[in-house]
Amino acid sequence: MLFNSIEFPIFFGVVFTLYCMMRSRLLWQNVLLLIASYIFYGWWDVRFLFLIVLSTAIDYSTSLMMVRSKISVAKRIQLFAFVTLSAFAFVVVRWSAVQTGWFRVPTGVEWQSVLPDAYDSTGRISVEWLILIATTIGLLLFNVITGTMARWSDVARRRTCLWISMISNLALLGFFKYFNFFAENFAELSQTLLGTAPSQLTLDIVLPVGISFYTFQTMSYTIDVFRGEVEPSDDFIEFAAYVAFFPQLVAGPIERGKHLLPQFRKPRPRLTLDAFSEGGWLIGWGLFKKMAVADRMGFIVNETFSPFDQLSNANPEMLVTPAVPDDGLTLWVALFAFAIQIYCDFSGYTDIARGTAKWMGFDIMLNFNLPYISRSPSEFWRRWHISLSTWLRDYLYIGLGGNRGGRLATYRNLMLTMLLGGLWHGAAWNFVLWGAFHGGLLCLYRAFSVESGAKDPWPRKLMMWSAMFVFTLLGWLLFRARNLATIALFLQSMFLRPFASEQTLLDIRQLLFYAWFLIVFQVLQVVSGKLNPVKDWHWFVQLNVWIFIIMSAFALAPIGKQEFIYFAF
Amino acid sequence: MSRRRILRFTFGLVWSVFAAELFLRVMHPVPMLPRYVQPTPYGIRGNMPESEYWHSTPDYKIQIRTNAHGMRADNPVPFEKPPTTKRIVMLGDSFGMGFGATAEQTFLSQLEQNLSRAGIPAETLNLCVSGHGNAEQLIELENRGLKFDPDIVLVAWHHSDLEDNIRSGLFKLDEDQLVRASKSYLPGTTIAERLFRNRAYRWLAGNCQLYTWSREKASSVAQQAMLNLRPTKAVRKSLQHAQKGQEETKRGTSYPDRLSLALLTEMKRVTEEHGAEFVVVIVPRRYNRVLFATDFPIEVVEASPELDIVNPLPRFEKHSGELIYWEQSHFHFTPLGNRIVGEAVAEHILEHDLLGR
Repeated sequence: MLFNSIEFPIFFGVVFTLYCMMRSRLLWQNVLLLIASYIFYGWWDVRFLFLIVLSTAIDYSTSLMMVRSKISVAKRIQLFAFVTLSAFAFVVVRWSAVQTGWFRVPTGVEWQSVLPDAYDSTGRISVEWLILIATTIGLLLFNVITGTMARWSDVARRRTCLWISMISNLALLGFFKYFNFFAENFAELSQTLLGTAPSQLTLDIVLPVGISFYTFQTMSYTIDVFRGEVEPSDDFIEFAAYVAFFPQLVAGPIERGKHLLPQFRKPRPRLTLDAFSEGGWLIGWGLFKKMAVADRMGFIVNETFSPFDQLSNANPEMLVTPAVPDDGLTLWVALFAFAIQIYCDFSGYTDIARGTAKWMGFDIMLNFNLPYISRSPSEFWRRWHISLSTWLRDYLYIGLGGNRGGRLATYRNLMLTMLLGGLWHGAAWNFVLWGAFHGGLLCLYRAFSVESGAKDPWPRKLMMWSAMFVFTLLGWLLFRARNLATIALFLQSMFLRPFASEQTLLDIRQLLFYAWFLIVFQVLQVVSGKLNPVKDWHWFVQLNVWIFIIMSAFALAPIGKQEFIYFAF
Repeated sequence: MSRRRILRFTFGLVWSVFAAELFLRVMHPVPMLPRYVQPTPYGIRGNMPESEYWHSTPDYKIQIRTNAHGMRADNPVPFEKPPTTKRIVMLGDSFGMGFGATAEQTFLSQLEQNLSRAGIPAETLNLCVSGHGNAEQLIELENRGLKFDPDIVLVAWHHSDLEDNIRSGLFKLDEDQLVRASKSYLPGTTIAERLFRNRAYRWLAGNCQLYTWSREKASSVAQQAMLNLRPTKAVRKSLQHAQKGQEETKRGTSYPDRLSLALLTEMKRVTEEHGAEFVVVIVPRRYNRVLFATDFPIEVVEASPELDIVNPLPRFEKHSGELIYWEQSHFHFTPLGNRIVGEAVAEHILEHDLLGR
């Protein structure tokens, strides 16, 4: 379900009403949040809910086993029942057999197609039933293994549990997100080196929405339990609701157990007028950024990039298809538009997530803090996708040794962290390149001790900001391009043919028309030093800002649903 | 609540309406295209007779006038055809009615002018009503169109007909047989008719952008809801597949396609029974200034040529890059678009000697 769809306000309205009615019943509220979160996710594809259930069950049990040598029989039965029933309900049952009307209200069921045949046309057992059987056997085996763990030493048990969690989560992520990427590259490498490539190496795999976000979230929780920084959750419902919490399930922020989980354990605060208006502002501002700015910037970006999107690195026609564009300035404008698009798209989602969560009494972490005012790459990563960059810092960079092993080791750790950070965004070489580019920037700035302090004179600040902004734009070129050929063509045009055309002026006009308010507002945010300066303004000015953002979000938005970019990661 | 707060709240409310109107006028002017429609005795929407109103958009400002029959014309047209005059009756939606064009610029007028230049004095009658699909066109033809004793019945087919036919629920296919499923389809027409009698409402509909914008938003939600609520399960599934481009079968065999073709075939049968010719002109869909397409299952029709089709798509491609559709006014035809279609239909009629009999 998309925040910017007509379904979401209806869904949220119902959930929020029920949630308020259950104010004094914490368990009921958590159950409601869990069901609502599964509906929210299942709206896209019910089958992939099972992956969330699997990830939840693995991390719940391994984290408990780390701290206690045993899990009670009641909990084991509860877990067994939940997972097997989920496998049956989400994988085996064919939800397409349910006929639905407007807002997916069920209108009928084709009972004969609800359950798949046990055997497929080739006489083999069907995949759906196979998953159910494998799940059941896997759970039984897991119970046997964990039963024997009670006799192990603390250290061995804790380490084994950590490994089980890490391997399972990374296996899920690796299979669904990276299998085809590595298989394709292996085939290409084999073709180059041996002159032959294995046939049918890739599989028809659908990338489950939000898998990178929730696997990282559950992994961080288990690592924190291992490190003794978080008390493991005893209540499965509470933990499952934390993993699947719908405002941030599919596009973050990647919440840490130590921040979000305690909020599921205690009664949430009552909704005050302040929290209501703050949440409302976040939702309104997020919708404005997504619908009126990001989606409109997308037109400028796609107009420039799409003719090059079909180029392939392996395409022999690459050299004869699109020539280097003569108007390099148009490409700079398109990159500027993409910088705005990706920021507004992603931070807009986070704002709406934070706003809806705030209304329900939850505090979700800040994920973007004016990233484009950064004057150095390290500052940029302190301001951009904060939940991912801090995750990478805490669990990868520091895990690799951080800056404790001398200069070279620090550079190696920075590069590795950023390379994996790039790969996290998608299974493609341009993301790896983007990670390497930012890793390289971090190393260079560190090697030459280029930092900009608050006491620097303004010309130096301006120079540093300009340089970092240009680097950021170049980084976005690597990020947005669908292939390496486009990157090469665009770089040539941008630096060797930086000329304007009629299209450049049209794009600038369009960019300013849709993004002027955002730019002015960001300047005000910087000047006032507040992310929400509006609340200090006179009520009449506030009213007009509200009218502007609401009307912009609904009147300027392009027709049709536009997905969030980060859903693809 | 203190008096001061009440005053502030009231002022805030009034100001919000004013500021929202101002926003739309400055940032996002809304095309003001009011539809003066009323229920007809035969259960569908018809244009209000003898009405005069304005369509104003960032692209144009045009007066729409209807005659006593609700046709887009200034003069009354008797049912009896004058001797030696050939008559062409056109059925269609807002494209056929000529939204975005003056009465002389519509493609029907262009057709008349082209035929006149070729030495054929033909009278064209515009029975199009904005929002009509093929189902309503069939009813309009049976109840009124044929009374004018036409020599040719021309239908302007637009891709929205596919959904309109389902939304109206007037006809359905029962084992591929066209069956009348409902007696009437008058969405909000009775209320609209009452409202349009009120002068203040007419002013609001013709001048207030906030009202028009809100009404259009609400209407698009309502239309989507009706599309999902009206038809049966199988139809809804087929429609969902077609909308997602996931049609498992080839073009022309989805339910919306088959229903539209069945309605056109029925119109052809009725027309030919009357001794007239039946021609369908396709309104091409615009993707951008250089890319046009049609959703009409033309390859199916070509395989079994029951319908006489005029497809102006190749002519549109020749004018690629020119302003064929108004870009800020719901993408109706510009005078150029109307001219191209008018020429295409005239050429077809002359080439096949459809008025020579």
